[in-house]
Amino acid sequence: MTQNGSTDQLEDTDDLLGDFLDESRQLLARLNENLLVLDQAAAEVPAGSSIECDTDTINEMFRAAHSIKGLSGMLGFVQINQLTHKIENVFDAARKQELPITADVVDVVLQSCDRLEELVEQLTAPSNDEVSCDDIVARIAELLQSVGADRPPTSQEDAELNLLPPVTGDLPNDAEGSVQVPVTERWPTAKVDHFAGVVDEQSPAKYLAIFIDEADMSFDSMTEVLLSEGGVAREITETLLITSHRIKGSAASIGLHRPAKLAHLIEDILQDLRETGDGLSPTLVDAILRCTDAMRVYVKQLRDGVPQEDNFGQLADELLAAHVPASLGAAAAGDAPAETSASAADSASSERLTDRQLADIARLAPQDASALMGVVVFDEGLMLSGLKARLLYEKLANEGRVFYCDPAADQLDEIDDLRSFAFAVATSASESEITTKIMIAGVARVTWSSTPSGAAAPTNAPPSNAPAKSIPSMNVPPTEATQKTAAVAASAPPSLGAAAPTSAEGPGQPVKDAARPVETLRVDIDRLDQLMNLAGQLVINKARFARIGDGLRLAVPGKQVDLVVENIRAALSQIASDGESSISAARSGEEIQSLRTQLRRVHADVDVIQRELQKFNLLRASIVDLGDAVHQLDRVADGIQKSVMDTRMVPVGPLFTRFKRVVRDITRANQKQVELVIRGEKTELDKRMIDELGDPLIHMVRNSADHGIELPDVRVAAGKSAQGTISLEAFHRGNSIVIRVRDDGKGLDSERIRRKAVEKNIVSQADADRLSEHQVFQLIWEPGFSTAEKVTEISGRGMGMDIVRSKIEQLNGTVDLTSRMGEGTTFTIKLPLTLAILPSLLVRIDGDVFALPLDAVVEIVTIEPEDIRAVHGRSTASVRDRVVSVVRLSELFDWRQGSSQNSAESGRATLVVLGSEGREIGLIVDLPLGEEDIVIKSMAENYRNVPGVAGASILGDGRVSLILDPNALLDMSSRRSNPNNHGAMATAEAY
Amino acid sequence: MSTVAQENTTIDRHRSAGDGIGSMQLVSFRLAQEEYGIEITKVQEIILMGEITRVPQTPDYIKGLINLRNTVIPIVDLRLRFGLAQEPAGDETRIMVVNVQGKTIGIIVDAVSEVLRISPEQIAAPPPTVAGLGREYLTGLVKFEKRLLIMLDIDKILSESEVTQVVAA
Repeated sequence: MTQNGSTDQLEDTDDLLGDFLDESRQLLARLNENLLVLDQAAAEVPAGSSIECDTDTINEMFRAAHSIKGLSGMLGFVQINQLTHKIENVFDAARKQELPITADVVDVVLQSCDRLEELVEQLTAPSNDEVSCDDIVARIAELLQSVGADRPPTSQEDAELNLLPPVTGDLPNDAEGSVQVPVTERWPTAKVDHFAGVVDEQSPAKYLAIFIDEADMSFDSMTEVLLSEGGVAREITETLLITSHRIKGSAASIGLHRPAKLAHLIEDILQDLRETGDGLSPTLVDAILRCTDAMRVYVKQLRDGVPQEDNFGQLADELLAAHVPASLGAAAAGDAPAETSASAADSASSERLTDRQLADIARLAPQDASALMGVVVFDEGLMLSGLKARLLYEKLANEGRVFYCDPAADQLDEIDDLRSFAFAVATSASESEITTKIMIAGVARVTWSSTPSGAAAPTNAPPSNAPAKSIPSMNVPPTEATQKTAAVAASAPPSLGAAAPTSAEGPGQPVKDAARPVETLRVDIDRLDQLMNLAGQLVINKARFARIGDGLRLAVPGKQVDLVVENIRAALSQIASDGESSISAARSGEEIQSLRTQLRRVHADVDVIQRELQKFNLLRASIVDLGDAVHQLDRVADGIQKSVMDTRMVPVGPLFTRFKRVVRDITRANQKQVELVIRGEKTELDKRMIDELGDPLIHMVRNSADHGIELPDVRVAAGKSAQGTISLEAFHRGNSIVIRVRDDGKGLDSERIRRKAVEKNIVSQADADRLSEHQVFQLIWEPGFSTAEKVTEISGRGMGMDIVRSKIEQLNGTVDLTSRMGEGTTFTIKLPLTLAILPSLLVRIDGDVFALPLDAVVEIVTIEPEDIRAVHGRSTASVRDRVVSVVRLSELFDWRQGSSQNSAESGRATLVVLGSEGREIGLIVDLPLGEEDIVIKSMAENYRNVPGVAGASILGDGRVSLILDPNALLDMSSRRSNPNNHGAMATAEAY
Repeated sequence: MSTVAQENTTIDRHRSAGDGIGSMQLVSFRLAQEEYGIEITKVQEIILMGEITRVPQTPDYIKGLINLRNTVIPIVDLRLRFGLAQEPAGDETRIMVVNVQGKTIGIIVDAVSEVLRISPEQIAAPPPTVAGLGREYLTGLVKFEKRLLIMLDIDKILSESEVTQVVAA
């Protein structure tokens, strides 16, 4: 059966699928991690023997498998469902100590996880290759049979899942014969407080935030479905069923048992409706809506960090009241009350310690330690409660010495319908501590009895004393049981005071203000890409505004113009007044008159000019204003850019953790011992970059594990520890992020690389001899180079390293390699903080504007023509006492298109010294234009990548400029110097 | 910038999908005194010539890159591609922005004439003298009234090797 075929059964499958993918990926990753821990442990014990592992780990893995199973069942992914079911069985058997965990077991489960990952990934990209998991299912079955633990679904969780058959449209009323529990027991009509003793655990703020986020969506969807008019009853029920199951699952997974319980109740009712095929009655719709609202309020309080008393108990009663009449009908009316009252009586009687039990406990209690005793009451209708009790017994045993258990511990798993069990444990833990430990799913409440500790109640005290003490408090109705717990906890010694108040506040208050969660929002990464793009455009436009402002400032005449005009005016006045006497002596009155008139006119004109010039003052003020505004824009644009970048940042940890598995698989295959050390997993990187880094890193790690680290005996012979170490670390350095893969293996053999490179015609013998050791190592990045003498399955197809390099260069990063014979090899990847924006130096070369990544610019110097000398046929210049080879872009690049402008051949040249990984070249430029943050645009998006060019960017004036790739320029210039290697350039030109 | 195409594309597709006889629309353009036609569905828009940034290590017919609303697209000079003499851009010179194998490229043409609706029977096979030159991008001749148009398969405008390079890059 193809999984993909069945996904269209539900309207909202798309949404659900997204959630399923998200969740199952996370769960699988977690599962894998835990398995690796086990694997580690398995490696340390002799082959075939079982390992000790703590129950928490096993339980966590069990839960992960169970969650995936449940979700896949919901969505009808049959294969995933089956496989997870098998995995779940393995863990179930393991936690019941039926199945010893050996390396084999871990191996099989790891393989199953791989298969699961494939299955899950297939959902996103349906292909024709059907992933079959029959073989792996068979292996698990074999494994379980070998220990006699293979059996039909038996655990409580299995039973629970069977209540929820896969959503397959063709089985409308399919109950799968699984609900064996009498209806009367599932729908008790008697007043029972379903929420007594159900206490939320303290949830980590991080998960809480995710829960809140998801829950809100779920509530919205539920409300919407409930309020929708018309529609097929069965579809509505199914949608609601899925949503409530999801709420239940996510709430329970982070310890919010109260909302989980309520959601569970809703789910049960819906399940029931689905089996009977009935639609929702209006009263039931109302009741569910009220529950949804209550949960919404509850979640809102969680978000605010101030949980209040909830009314879940009351709502549950209303819910059941709304449902029972419909489902039970007249027949149940007769039977149910009798039976439930009986069970209620039963539960009442077993909820406290009997006199006989107290006497026994008093007799058995150790003298030298304080003891706690109480009764655990299970949920009504809990299946296989005996197993649960056994599990609780184990949990109690972890806390101290359980010296009393009724029924006896070894009989617990055989009792199927256990309602409660009594225990006494000698422990230093407080009641509240233990309560949190044992309040697992299925446990309704824990009733504590007064402590007959060694000091307070001597063992030889009359048995009647103990009951006398405990009875008054034990006769309280079940509803008050938790309050009693609280009272006891509150009176606990002050040292436990910190824990006590939490429980003293009663149920439903798990979150303190301190744990107030961060609100999160799931966003489509494409939208973030778009936002990033827009932020980039804003940066471009900002640059443009700055340019306009600068241009205006230059265009407006300065203040001295006013002065000049003022001077002219003064001079004119002077002439007009002084001149009068001298002029009048010489000239006739008529001439004087006309001269005066002209002077007046000039005077008036100058006045006008002066007034007009004053307007420039306004303009100048506006330009200053514009400058301020641009400055402001600058800050806002930077802020937006930074914020957008921040939203895209994710820690590198999960990526690194994946490699644990890679290393494990390799060491399995090649008998090496390797430890993977991870550092700096909190370092954040752009999400897209993380996605792209996986492949190159895998190559490097594989190389280190396969070729770098030696076999244990070789290592020991070389005086190293048998176990090799590969370290993966990430850290910030300046404006970059550095990822380093280091191994302490045999290191690279430079002689062998030299030989190989010559053999493979990558370099000529003469060149090979001239290269420094560091340069020799860089040859491994050349296409077609592989140093492994024997090509293994894991690495060494001889195509890895050049792809690794090009991948990293696509991210505008660089990769370097250092190695020492016998000591190990280090790969250093340097990546820009962001993919999109690059601080760069703009230069003009031959009329074109180019951008040079600022990171690579070492310095800018002006040199005289005579400073450039030919050394060994190459132009070099002496820059601050060191010799730098000088290149012109026209020598490196092959231009087939004419330049728009010809560069003016001037005597002096500006040299931009570019450096990377210890190499330097001086690039001759016409004019440096200044620094600018530019937005990188891919050329491959619509064309293709071009050697020597890292990408294109759009300048402030809207023109496209090319971003030069300093690394490639360095390569090209060193190749050019090498006449034998002209072939390489020729190929590059042949495009 | 004038956007000519696009509004008719959906109607056109409907028609050609609906019945086998369906007519098709061509954008006709002029290049060195000859008329050519490209299927309208391939044409995204027609823009004026602007400044083109040249790119090294590319064939001469790749004029360079332009900024089309914040996307960088390559520009192919169709005259050079067809081995014709280069001419300076005139008043009528336009860039036709076309979609080729998921990429957007611009082609420089002497002038864009009009949008023609033709029926399949108007298309004849290219004469062997032309087809024999290995010009795979010439897919047919269209007789339209008294005019003769050369139909271009724009997907093959970038030669086979060039397309592979584009895809491989």
